[in-house]
Amino acid sequence: MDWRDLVRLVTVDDSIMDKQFVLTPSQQEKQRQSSITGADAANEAAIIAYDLAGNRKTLDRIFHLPLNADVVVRDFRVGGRRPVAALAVFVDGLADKNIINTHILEPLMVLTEFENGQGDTEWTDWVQHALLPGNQVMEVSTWKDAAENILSGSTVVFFEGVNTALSVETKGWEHRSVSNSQTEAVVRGPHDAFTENFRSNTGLIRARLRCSNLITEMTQVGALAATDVAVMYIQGVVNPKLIKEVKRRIAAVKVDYLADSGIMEQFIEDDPSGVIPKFLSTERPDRVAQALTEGQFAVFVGHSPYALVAPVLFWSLLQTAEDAYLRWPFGSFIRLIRVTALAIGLLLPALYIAVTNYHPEMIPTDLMLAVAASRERVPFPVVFEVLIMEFSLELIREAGIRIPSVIGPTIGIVGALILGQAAVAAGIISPLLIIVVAVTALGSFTMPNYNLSFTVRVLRFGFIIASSLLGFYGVTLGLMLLIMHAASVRSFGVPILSPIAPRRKSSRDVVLRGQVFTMEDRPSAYMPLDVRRQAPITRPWSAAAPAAREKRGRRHRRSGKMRKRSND
Amino acid sequence: MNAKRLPLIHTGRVGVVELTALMTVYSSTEIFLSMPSRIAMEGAGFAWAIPLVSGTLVLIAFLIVHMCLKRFPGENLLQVISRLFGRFTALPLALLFALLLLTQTALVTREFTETVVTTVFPATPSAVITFTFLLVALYYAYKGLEGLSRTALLFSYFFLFGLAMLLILPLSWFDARLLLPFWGHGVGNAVWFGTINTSLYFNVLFLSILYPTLRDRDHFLYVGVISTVVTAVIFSIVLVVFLGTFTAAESGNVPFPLYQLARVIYVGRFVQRLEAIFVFLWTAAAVIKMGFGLWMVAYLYALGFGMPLYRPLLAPVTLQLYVLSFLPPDFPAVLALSAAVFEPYGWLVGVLLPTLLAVAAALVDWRRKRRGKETGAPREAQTFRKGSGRLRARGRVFSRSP
Repeated sequence: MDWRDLVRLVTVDDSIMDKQFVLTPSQQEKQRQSSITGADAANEAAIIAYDLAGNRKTLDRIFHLPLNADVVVRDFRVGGRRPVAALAVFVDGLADKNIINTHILEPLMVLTEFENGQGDTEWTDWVQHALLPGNQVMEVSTWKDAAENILSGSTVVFFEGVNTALSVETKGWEHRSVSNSQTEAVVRGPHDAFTENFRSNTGLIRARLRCSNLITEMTQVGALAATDVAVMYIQGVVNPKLIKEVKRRIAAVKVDYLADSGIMEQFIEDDPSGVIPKFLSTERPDRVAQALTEGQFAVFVGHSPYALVAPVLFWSLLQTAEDAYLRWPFGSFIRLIRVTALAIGLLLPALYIAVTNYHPEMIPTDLMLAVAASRERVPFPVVFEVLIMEFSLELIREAGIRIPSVIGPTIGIVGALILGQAAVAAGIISPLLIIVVAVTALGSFTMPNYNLSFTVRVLRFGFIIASSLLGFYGVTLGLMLLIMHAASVRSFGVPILSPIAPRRKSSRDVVLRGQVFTMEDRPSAYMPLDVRRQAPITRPWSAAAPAAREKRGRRHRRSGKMRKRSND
Repeated sequence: MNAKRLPLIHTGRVGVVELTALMTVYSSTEIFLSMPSRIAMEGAGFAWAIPLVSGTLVLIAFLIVHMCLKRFPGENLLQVISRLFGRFTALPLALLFALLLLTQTALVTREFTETVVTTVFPATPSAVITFTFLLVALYYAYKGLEGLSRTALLFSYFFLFGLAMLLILPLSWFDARLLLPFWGHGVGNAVWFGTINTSLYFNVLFLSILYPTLRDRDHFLYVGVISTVVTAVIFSIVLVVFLGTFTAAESGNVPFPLYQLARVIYVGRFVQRLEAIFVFLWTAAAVIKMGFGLWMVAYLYALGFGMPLYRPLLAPVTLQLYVLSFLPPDFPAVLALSAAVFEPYGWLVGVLLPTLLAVAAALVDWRRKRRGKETGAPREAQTFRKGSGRLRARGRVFSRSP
């Protein structure tokens, strides 16, 4: 230790202090960035060169090598009497290395015999069609295509003296396997759900709908980082105008990066300012498959486990797949429960405020005395109580989503029991209100659609304010506003209150569930090309069939659409 | 020679069932005001027949209008008048209709406001209730005919159910003997009041203006007949229950008939004092009635002046409604105005005038066709939709005079 170290002990060594960090770039940095961007754009448009060394330099420039450690460039020689230099480029973590080793490197390096003197075109054809056993091999000629393929998980192989490259499908990144649905659980019905793997999701639909007319049109959205977007539909069933319109809207999405289907939904929905969802976002393959057969289309976005189905009707947002799998009385029963839950989740706190503040004469005297007694110690007005409890519930709900699962149940006990019980014991909240708020929460949790549950949660506060100002009258005005708003909302041109308002022909599957063998027509609200979806009364062996057939015949005679029948 | 017809303002298309529901709800909403009391006072035990007489007369008028307008497919009454008699005949007619609806809607607004204030919010200023009513009505009118008709259709199910409950639950108080004497003040009296009470029905006027908006015009007759018949039956049944619950002698003194009917409901300890629940019913009905009235005033005004849009007129018309509704000093003045002016004379503009205009237009058209002049279609070939929306071009052969 010398005297310099001693000086550093007693003084501030400002040599370690960095220059102050600022986010805005300097003029020099801007010029450097624009030259890089210009070079990138020029590179992307350029054709792949013959010279492998030049291609290597271009790769280094595009992918910022060797700085970017994700991109791997493997130099090798294609075997044969006169070996040809080549290089394989892939992204570590996206590509399956086993496939690269066994389907690209091994065949080309070890198992190859070439004839010299072949032209370049024949040579790449030979390699593509005879040497590379990958299930999808594509020839690319521009750097743009090459870069896109590399970034999507394929391996691109460049050859010396050839101005094209071969892209081999080698996607194989780690992803979650198909598991139970997180937000749409059912008791009776399939339990699988979409995952973050794009092709797994489309595959789940294909496995259910083994139909040659099931079309998957794919595109990519995102200028900075491309995200795969697929539109699935059944040709011959769906109205072609719908597909044309959705493709038009997707093509108009010009963003740098599209992260999830939720963002895509906001880009392409009809009215972005409304509170009612215009898409059905679901993670259940069976719901999507059923929707496709009814004349709707589905949009899959990148690694999102939620598919978007449209056009959607408001009644569909209240339905679950389980309604169809149960017999019709039970399906109708649980639908009625859900409709009642919707009304409770939306209106119960508002009605409680209206009754206690403005219309106490409605309550029987004994109950009114009980309510008054329970509220005697509470120093706050009813509105304030309700708002406190609703806000607390929203806090508990949000905390419950983000809390680590290890201590989740513990916090649930804290929130539900201790806070509620403590609040009542302290005289801040009345016990009756705890019941009201709890029942309201149960009602809103019953909503099968996650987006619709948000609608209920948000609108509930509006109704609370309306009832606190004007009682039942305010609640009525609020309801009328909501009904008119819903009556004017459209999902890809289809009024969401169809087939009730406007009145459209439909099978008995709107609010209640009818008998499945009478549901012969697809929903006419979607204007499908093929309206008929099953044979008339598909129970010819059943005693119920003649009665149902007679009833249907009477209905058709009334509407003047009687068809000729052959004598049975 | 045909003058240029009024341009049609884009309103979208409405379905047959939706328009029927809208017409029915609009007319039937009168039962929540003082109409049952007034008619009960006029007809006593036979008052239930007065709406049936009115309905029959309105039905006849509608059938006449329908037969006349069939000669002019795709045009409403004002367009036909402007084409046959000149643009400057249609404008005062449009303004007259608009004025009638404006004043009538203002009166209805005041009546509903007084009902809500008296029955539910005695300490709240009327201006607050009127303002909130009109704000919602403005939103309804802004959303247009499609939204109005769909909301009316959706609401009609609750309306019929709620009305049925309102009529069934007080049946414990119903006494059929209170309907006697059966003929009331006499058949002649009933026919006379039935004639002037056609002021309650605006179906003829509305449908003669809204005819081109129907998605399927072949069902125009259905809309008019069903809405008129259903409204008349509803009026009649309400009067039967009202008279059987309250005596004819006292029924004329009941200011809010259906509210009083709701107040007498008592089916056990828990099913009583339900009048607050029925606030939902008549508030919702009032919003639809006022919204449609406001829309129609703006639409007629714009149509008369040949404007391409009516929406910019909604806010000023709403302000006019607000001001006009406060002109009568109190509720008895409102009732007096309604009984002295609108009921005795409203039918002249709302029922008789559209009928006469339709007959006159049909006669002129018939005479011109007889003389072989070009008529029956505008100068350009007509194209209009029918049924499922397929476009059909129907060019007419123009015959010249020999």
